[in-house]
Amino acid sequence: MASDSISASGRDTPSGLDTPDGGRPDDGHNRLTRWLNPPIRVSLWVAILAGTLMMLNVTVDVLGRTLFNLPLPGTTEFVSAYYMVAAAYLPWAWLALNDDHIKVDLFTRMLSPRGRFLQDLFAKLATILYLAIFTWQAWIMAIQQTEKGEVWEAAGFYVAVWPTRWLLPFAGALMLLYLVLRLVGDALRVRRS
Amino acid sequence: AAPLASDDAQAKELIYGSWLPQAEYTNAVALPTIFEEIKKETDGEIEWRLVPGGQLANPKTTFDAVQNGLMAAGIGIPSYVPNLVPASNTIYGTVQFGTNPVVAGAAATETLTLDCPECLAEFRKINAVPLAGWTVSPYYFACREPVASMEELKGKRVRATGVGNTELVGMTGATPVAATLVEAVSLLQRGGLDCTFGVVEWLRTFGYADFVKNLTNYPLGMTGPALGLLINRDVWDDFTKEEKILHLKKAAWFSAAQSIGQFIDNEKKALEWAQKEKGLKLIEPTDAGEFKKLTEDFDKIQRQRNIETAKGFGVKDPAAIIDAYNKNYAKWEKLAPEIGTDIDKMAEMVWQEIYSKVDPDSF
Amino acid sequence: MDTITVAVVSLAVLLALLAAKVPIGVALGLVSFGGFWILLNFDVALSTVRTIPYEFSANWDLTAIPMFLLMGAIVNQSGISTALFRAARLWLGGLPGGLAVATNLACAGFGAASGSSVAASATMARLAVPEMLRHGYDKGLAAGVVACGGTLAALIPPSILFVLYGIFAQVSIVDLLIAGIIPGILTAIVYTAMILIRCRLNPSLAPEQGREEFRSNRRERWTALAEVWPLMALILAVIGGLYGGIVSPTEAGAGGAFVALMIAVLQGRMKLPDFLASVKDAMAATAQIFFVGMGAVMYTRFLAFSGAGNFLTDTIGTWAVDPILLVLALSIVYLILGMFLDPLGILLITIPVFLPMFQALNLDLVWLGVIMVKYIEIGLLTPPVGFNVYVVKGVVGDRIPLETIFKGCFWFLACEVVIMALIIGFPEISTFLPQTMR
Ligand code: NA
Ligand code: NA
Repeated sequence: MASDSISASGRDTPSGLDTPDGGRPDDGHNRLTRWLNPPIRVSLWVAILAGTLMMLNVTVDVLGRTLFNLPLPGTTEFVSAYYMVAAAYLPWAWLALNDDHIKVDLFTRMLSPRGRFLQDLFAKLATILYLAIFTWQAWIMAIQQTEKGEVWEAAGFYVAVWPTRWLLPFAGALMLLYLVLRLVGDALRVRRS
Repeated sequence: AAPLASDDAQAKELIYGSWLPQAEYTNAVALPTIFEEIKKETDGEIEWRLVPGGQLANPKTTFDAVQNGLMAAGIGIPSYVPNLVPASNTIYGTVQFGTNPVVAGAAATETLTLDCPECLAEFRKINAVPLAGWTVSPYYFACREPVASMEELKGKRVRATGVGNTELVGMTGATPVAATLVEAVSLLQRGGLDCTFGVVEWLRTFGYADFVKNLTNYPLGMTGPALGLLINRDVWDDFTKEEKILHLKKAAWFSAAQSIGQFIDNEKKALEWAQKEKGLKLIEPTDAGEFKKLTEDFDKIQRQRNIETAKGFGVKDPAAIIDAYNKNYAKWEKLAPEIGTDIDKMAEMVWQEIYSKVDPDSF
Repeated sequence: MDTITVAVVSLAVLLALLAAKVPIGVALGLVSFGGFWILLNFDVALSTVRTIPYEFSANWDLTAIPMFLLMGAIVNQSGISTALFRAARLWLGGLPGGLAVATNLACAGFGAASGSSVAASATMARLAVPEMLRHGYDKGLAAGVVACGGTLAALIPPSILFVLYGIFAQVSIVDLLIAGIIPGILTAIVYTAMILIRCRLNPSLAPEQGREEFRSNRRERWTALAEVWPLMALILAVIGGLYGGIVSPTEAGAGGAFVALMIAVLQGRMKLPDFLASVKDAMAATAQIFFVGMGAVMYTRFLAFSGAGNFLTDTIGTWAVDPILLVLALSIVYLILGMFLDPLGILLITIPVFLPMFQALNLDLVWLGVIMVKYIEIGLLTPPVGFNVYVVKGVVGDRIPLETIFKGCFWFLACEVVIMALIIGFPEISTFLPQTMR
């Protein structure tokens, strides 16, 4: 299901998510990336779990508050620091697998095959560079906050939020690894043909 | 076009990132005043630029932004990062049940600056210099329906955040609801919330006065949320001794302006406005004694809890910090009549009693 | 480099990266990183990457986004949308161009349960286009109405774009969501009028044949309506809950998703795999948005830091421009950007530029939000890059050429000229409802 944003690939489902196994750009012929499928899937499942819990937790809180004067303490903190972070980062590698990160298709259709190859290479390298910086810094932050034992003040108690700091370097590294392996796989294929 | 920040040779432009809205007193009056004076008194050597509205960092990330040098200074609220500055949070998490923010603000600043080496050490660890503290004015219950007794608070949904406030609201028999200040507006509108627990000024700044027509006239404690000049330590170390002293003096004035201009004068104006324009009624408690008892009960509980919390974060002797705060509170209660509501007078006293005793080079 | 140079260069590099098909989130992130590096130093640039993403995502206000997406995904996955279209068809099919009118209103109804216009177009394209083609409708009209009707979803609450605008512009999200209602309904009405008039004047667009079948079956009409009333109730509950201040946007989204799930389960429309597929769609779309969003926050911070905002405000201040000139300038910028850019990208890149100008002129930021969202939605329909058109094309495949769909949108875009003139000329259309909440 779509955000208001899609890759302009004009596929049936805007984000291409209805086709978990068929017709995706990777198509499994890149043997190098295949062993990443399990962690990518597990990440996605954890995000699905987080989304479900988010809905339930907030609903219980609203019902408790409006009907019984019993809000669920810590809802704001748990939803923001746990479920939201899981939803925002864990599907990254899955999106990369489906080539579903939002981009703009402006001129590339006018390019020659060679130009298109170079453009694609450039875009991939830029993404890899960005993710490398992101993962590196998120890793440092996760260590820092774990050492500091980061907490948020909630209604009457403290919520430890440092554990979800680790989701960022994990998600970043997974997507990074996937993109690097795919690039290597592509390069090998180009050399073969 | 204006010169940019960074290594400009002649003038230092320093970025102050504030997450408060542009029109708020701190951003509209207090900060522009001291920044103007600093520029003038250093002959343009030091120029502070205010970036308001949370464009650079929010309350939680201000500490990171100052530590890393993205901002040269910002507003630091210890209770947002209790694990980073647990000793300071012991001061700022303690609720004082008086009514004068001058007293609590100055006492908190003195405790942090002169009586709590552990506090200073924890700020040194995060590459920051903590200047210009204040506490807010007392919190009140403001409700849609009149509330004159604890009995009438029972079962009411009250916006409250933070450990102490949540606990205090819970002790009245009301149900604390953790909504953000902005969310509370729509919740108050048709009964998602019955009351807010906070300063009078919110009735105006967040528009609560449209829905909340009754203020229970019993002050329920001042907490100390803020350090107004959390300065990046590298920036501080680059100052000359004179510049450091200048900033300490301006910090004293900033504390005073916040305590009096913001939390006494503006509170009064906001109350008058709400009464006149919005028909806010002051509800006198039927039995003030029960509210007094509430504060006494809470005082005992909070001492114990604050000590335990601080120990949990590794503070060595939190009891000593709280005792120092209470001692300083008593001291400033005696000095308060002399200050009245004179900002310059308070600035002078804070300088005399607190910042003049600091060695600017080893601070 | 001085302020304006830095800002202009950053924008140029950003556009160059986007043209090279670098993902928008990556382009925004890299440009801001480089910007901070140049303005301050490498360590500060690194520190922004370290702190901003987590701060941006671990945010209570933004939880409305996954929850709005989830609600729409559940409604879609459960097939309630099919029932909705069926009811609209049975009730309105008898009018001139009745199927197109029905599609348009079903889009509005689905839009009231979904936060995303691309989702609305995709769903309705699958349901309505084959039906219209079977009845000999003009291809351009058939495809155009789903592409354009889909944009109603971004105006009628819930709406992802309004949530994001509210966060970045620091405007009440509830006010924005409520403000979108009347412009959304207005758009639906103008579209409907245009379809009726065109089909009355040119019956070949929507042939009479088969209209009979919609006239006679009264009983079927009521059964169809009975099937969709829970959805109607859900929509009214969500909008009413927001308007009445009983729930916050986040709570409306989560509660709405939960109730939609209950309705779907009770009507026997949803099994566990369907539900999981809905959550998967919603979470993947959430991650998509946040990947771009955190880059946008970095870029916004960078612009704030560079002082570009102040520069623009000062410049506007010295020109002392007329608000109408500003809105006209803004219209031109959006129409051009809308031809090429992704909606999320446009929104997040332009907010830091236009917001200070509106503030400097003391204009209503809720009104600005409605204008921005309208223009972004128009951009979804204009060539060469029109996302809603692409989505519809994806669904209809070889049956309708791309050019025909863009041509089919032309009449709707002509309507937009009228609608935008009204929204700009009468700010009350947007600001009236939120003001009644005060
Ligand atoms: Na919608
Ligand atoms: Na377009």
